[in-house]
Formats: sequence, C-alpha cells, structure tokens
Amino acid sequence: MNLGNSNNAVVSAQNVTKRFGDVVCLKQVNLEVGAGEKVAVVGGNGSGKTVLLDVLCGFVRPNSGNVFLNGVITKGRHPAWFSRHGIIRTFQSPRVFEQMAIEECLTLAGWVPEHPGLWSSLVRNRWYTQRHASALGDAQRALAFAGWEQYAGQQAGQLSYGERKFLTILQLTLAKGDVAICDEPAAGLDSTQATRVIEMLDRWHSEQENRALIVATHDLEYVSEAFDRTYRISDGHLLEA
Amino acid sequence: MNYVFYILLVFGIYAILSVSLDILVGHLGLLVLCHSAFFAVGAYVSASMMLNAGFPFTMAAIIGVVASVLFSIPVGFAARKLRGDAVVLGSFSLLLITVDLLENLRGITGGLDGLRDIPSIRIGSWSVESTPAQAVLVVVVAIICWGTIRRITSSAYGNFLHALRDDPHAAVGLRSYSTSLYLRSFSLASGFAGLAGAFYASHMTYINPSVFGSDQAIALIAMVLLGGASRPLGPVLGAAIVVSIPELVRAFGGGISEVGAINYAIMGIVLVLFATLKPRGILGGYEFR
Repeated sequence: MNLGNSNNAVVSAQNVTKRFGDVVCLKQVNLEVGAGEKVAVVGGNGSGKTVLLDVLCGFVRPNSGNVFLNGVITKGRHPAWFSRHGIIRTFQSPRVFEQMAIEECLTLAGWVPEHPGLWSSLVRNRWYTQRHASALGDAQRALAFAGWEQYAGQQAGQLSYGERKFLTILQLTLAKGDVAICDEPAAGLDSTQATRVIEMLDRWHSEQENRALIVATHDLEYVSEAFDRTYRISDGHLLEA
Repeated sequence: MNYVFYILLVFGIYAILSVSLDILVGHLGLLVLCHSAFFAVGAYVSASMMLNAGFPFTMAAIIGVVASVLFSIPVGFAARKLRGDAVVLGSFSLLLITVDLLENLRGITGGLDGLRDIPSIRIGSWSVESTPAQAVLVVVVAIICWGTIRRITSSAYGNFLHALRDDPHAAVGLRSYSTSLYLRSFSLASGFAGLAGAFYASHMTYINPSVFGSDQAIALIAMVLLGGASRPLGPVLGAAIVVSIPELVRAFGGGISEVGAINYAIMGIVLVLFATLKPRGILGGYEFR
C-alpha cells in the first residue's frame, strides 16, 4: 500500500496530466475530495471535465501524476478495481443496459456491490431470497417514485434520452457506494426532471455521512446549490473557485 | 425405431451443448466459437480415463467435466477483456489450436485416427448399451441441464450477466462488474459441454478430431442464434432444427449422397437469412449489434 496524499481525502489527484496525441486535456491537475464532501467541477464543453472524471475512476490513465483512492495509489489499476473500492460512475451520454427490462436494471442496482453465486442462484437459499426481495423492493419503490410502474417490463433501450438519464440516476440512488462521480447529470433534461435528479443526488449523498459526490457540470445555476467546494476547469487547468 | 432413438440421442447431446453455449452467447454476449473445444476436452479426457485408467463411465465423465472446466478458466479470464470481433477471432483461434493438438498429440489422443473401442455408458451396475436407453438417459440429462441453466440465468445472477452483455463500461460504473462472473459462467458452460462430450464419446465408442472442428463450432452457434439467444427454449429449438436438417435432406433429397455437404450449405443459407431477416432468431432473443 502506498500512502501518498496529504490528508484524509477519499479521492485525490496529484499533478495529473493527460494527453491525447498533441492535445493536452489535463495540465498538472490537483484535486482532493474528502469523505462526506460534495464537490462540483465546472467548465465549458471541451474544458477537460469528462477526462478528469474518467481519470478519477480509472477509465483513463494519466500520462503523469497520481490518483489516490482512500490513500492508496491507483497506478495501473483496472476501472473494475475502482468500482470494487466504492466508486459509482454515471456518464454524460447516459449508458443503460439496452436489452434489460427497467425493473431488472433497478433490481441489479439494488444488489450491487454484492452478486449471487451460481449455487445460491440455483438453490435460491435464504440469503439469496432475502437479498433479492430487498433489491426487488427497492426497485419497485424507485419505479413508483419515477411513475414508471406500468413500464417495469419495458426494455431500457426503448427509453428517451432524458428517461435514460433519469434511469441511470435512479440506479445510482439504489447502489451502495462511497463515492458517486456524475458527469453532467442534469444536462439535456427539462427543468422539472433536472430538479428531481438534483434532489435524488442530494438524498443519496445525505443518506450516509461519509458519502462523497463529485459532479461535473457546465450549468452554473446548478452549482449555486449547496456544494462544499467548486472547482473551475478551463483548457485543462483546474482551479478552486 | 432404433433410428428415431438415435436422432433423439443426438438431439439431446446438441441440446446440452446449445443450452450451455447460450450462457456465453445469449446471456454474456460473447460470440464464442470454441465451445466444441470444451466438448472435445470432455470427450477425450473421459474416453482416455476409461481406456487407459480403466475408470467407470461415471468417474471418467466427472474427470472429463473437471478437465473441461479447468480448460475454460484461462479462456474466461481472457474473454473478459475482449468484445465483438476479438472474441470471435480469439475463440476460433483457440478451437483451431485445440484441434491441432488433438491431431498431433498422437500418444494421448490417437492423432487423426482418434480413440477407438471406448466403453459404453455404464452407471453403477446399470449398463446402458442399447440406443433407446442411452437416448432416454441423455434426454433426461439434457432436461436437467436446461432446468439448471434456466434457473440460474433467470435469477439475479442472470441480470448481472445481462448487464455485462449490454454494456460492460456501464456495469463497471454501477459496480456490477466482476471477473468472477466471467469465470463462473465459462466454468458452467464448459462443464456441461464436457459432460456432453463424455456422453458422446461413450455412445459413439469412437472419436476423432474432425468431430470437434470449425463446422461443429458453426453448427453450435447456428443453434443458439436460430432459436433465439437468451430465450429459455431458443437454443433447444435451434438444436432441433439443426439436427433435423440432415434428416430432412435424407428423407426428401432424392438419394443425395453428400448429405454432410448439403447440410452445411443449407445451414449457411439459413444462418445468412436469419442474420438479415430475423436477427433475434425464431423466438426473439438477444440481438447482436
């Protein structure tokens, strides 16, 4: 274990630089997010927000600098390692499980990070039955919250852009994790949907004291809501606002 | 009458193979072409155990299944990092390597001559030598295999596989990605393929590498895709169709002598037609995009 970050940050980036060919997307970026904090990263299109989030959850490896997760250096780790260590990620262009029913997507979210084994799935033992009933109950409550009860069996791939985005946030709110990293969670939604999404993220964050939330957005109106800290990113440079 | 039971037996073996392959194709979304390699490992290992070590069928079949599972673990480990065309190419290469090894490890596999005089199926003191008895036994095993796989894939475990199938990136984002899901699924699929291999070897009493080649791999994929990948009865229906094609050629072909060649030509045409006109198969299963 390599302890390299300065304080009790859950996620931190130190002097991170990322290049794609000649384009430098992140330039010596430093960022720290502590347990329980709610942090916004604000910037325009092409400023480097998504690349920064991808670096923080392992989808993109930096050319130089380090990312730490709970004080552990993450160099060379697969994104699944970040995921196993508590990071949940939603994407700007919402990625749903296209050929799964909406209820299945939500039940899946209610299960994570655990998953059943072959034997427990076959014999449906007590542990499985209780765990599945709990996940299914969560999924049905989420369906009721969204007003989607009648669409429970519909494939997620048939949803509109806004509905897909809403589904990914619903999934996030059911999933157990320590850090949620959300890329433009309210972009492309009408004001009612956007408000609900923001409320849902707030609720997820406040459910447990140590949960951290990192949100990238270009929407300054959204940032005016309560964030512990706001960073501005422009042309790959990150500055605390 | 014996002929009807023979067809039923062949259908039972292919039903085990197609239903187990569907775990990887329909539920995990990997167009795997090396399932007949798992089939071959089960067949060769169980046959060798009976011929060389004098093991009874049951013990030899268990060892064949274990060997097939062990063989699949590195494949599952590699497959988790591959998608799309890379899975097809990688798994097909593995099949070619396996067949090449079967042809050239003469001391173990008998080379191109294969293994002969494999003892027939025997369970305890019950010697299952007649074709009808073997057919009934294989169909019962196929039903158990189907029920087991159906129960697992219709559970929450199936949801986790479907998430990996539909978008592994999003599965990582939602914390539902796990390497063990790939390894367990490959183990389950290859274990049943190995079991089918043990039954096949003991029924035919003779196996050689040509049985497990690329035409077999295509036939297995065709069964899954024609019936409808990930549908409960899709691969079973596909197996019934593919098994019945040569029989229909024999019955209505007006004395065609090259049934094998005609069979694969028809299968090729049917596959192309389905891929373009009905990509979800007859029962409307998972669609590869």
